[in-house]
Amino acid sequence: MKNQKKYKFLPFNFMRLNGSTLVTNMGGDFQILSNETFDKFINYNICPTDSIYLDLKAKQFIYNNSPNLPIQLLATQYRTKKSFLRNFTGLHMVVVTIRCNQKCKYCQVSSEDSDANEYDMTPETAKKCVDLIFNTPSPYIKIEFQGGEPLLNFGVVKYIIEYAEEQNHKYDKKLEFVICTNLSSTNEEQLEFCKIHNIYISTSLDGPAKIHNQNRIMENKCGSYKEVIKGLQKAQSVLGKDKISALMTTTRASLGKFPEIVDEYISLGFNSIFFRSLNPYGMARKYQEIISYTTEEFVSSYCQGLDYIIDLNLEGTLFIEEYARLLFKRILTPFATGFVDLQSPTGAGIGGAIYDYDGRVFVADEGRMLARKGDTQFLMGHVDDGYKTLFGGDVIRQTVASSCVECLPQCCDCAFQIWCGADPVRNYTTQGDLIGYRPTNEFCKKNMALIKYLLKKIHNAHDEVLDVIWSWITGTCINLNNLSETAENK
Amino acid sequence: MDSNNIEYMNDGSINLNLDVKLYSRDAILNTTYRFTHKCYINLQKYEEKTALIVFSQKNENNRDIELLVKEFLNELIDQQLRVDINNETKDIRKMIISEAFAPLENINESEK
Repeated sequence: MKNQKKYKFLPFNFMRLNGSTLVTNMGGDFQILSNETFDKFINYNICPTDSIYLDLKAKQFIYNNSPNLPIQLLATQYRTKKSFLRNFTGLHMVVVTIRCNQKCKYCQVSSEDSDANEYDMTPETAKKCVDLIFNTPSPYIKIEFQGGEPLLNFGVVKYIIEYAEEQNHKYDKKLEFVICTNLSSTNEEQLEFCKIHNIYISTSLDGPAKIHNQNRIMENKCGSYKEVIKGLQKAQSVLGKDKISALMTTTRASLGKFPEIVDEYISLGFNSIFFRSLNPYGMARKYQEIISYTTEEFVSSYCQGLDYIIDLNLEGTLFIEEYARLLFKRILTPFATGFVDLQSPTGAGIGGAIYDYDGRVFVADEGRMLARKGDTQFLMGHVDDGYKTLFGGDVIRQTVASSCVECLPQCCDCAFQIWCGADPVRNYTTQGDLIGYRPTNEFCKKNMALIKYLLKKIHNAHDEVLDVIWSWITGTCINLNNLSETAENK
Repeated sequence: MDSNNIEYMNDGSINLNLDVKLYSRDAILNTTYRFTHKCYINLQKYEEKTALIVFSQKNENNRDIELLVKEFLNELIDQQLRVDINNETKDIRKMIISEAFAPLENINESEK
């Protein structure tokens, strides 16, 4: 039988879908085969005259004579897919205070009262953070201010930005700043400063007032929607709409209401949204029974929301769902898309690191929450320890070594491997160790379901839906005239 | 007699005897990994000709253990296929990764 082989295999993974089989390879190429064709494929019974033969050969699933050329092609694709590793840590999240003027039900850091000044970062620690950050070999540095509410310690925010800009005369990095703020305490002075220093604002908005106010609450126990909208409009008028983005967090209150949330985002001038599921940390655990939901419920809402957004695009409104854009780009292009929460190896530490108000450095935001409860698993050290000790230390090495999907149980032969990633921090928090156990892992369940849905979208899409998907990937507008012509011709 | 043999035990557990010419140790372990949350699995022996795996319920509300064993056998076929494909392609996989990261070979030198 062996000497009758019409071709030889190149490495690939496969997954049974509903009535068909998906095959993917190390370069990220894929093919969906009928089960019958897959059986022929694995039994070496596809003939060179079959049209699928050329597809499988062109996509580097099979070869005939020498494997040298396919090896080089797949190596180039693989290197490109992993090129996000080239620059090392570019995202540096600085917690200038854990004081907050809101008490959100899903807050993952258990913030302190707005007058508890002992939880502020000092200028001395801030200087050490910046000095440390500029040690990164990455030519890109993004400093993201987090909290608590970072604007409650605006003096240190200002100090870090001005000192980093001064240092950058020496280092000449591409330097960017983002302030993650709830916008409910923003004033003119702060916004003017943001304008002068070209600072981006990332805020939190869960949707219309009735959804937002259920979970995002001011210290006085009133919903924060009015304050946030007032702050948002002020910020948009000073900085321009393109400088402000918003994040939503899905709670039980938002399930099934994604279209309403999208409408709210559009009415406020946003052109994208990230349907983000709840993180199982901090206060979210305390209020689990009120705000939590199953993975299946989230996926169902996500799919409903995505369909709604695609329909809006088809009607002429350019609006993007960011997680879908990320995954579509991974599935349909050869390019690298580093995303700290979904990459292999993980972005924890090597993609982003977080500096707590007291100078402790963690591989991920969730690590500082665990540390507050006495578990220092993800504590890299202190800003006084120096760059090599922190970023070359055991914590970062162990976390990263436990996060390569290429060798994790079940992930290692998963057909979604090249598009997916690992989250060792979440594995540790939810399943007790960095590797986790895949058959009951909710992170795995969610991403498997979402990727399957997006693949189905691609596979069954009409040309106009594919145009929408490509417009998201390339960041260009679709030509609506062509779309309407296409529709008329059908 | 089937080369793969199922025995129903008095205590409700099921003994599955597998022909190791059909299924490798890796395929059996990979399949077992996917079922340990559904029932207790005891891989009792892996010998020259047969492997013995014992399945028992985790609690009374568990799904029918017999059905799980059937699902296990189905999954085992795909897992063995993965092992076969990996055996055929593992050298090429190593060459692809070596080629992809060849520019990093001298990274320690350049750091000095």
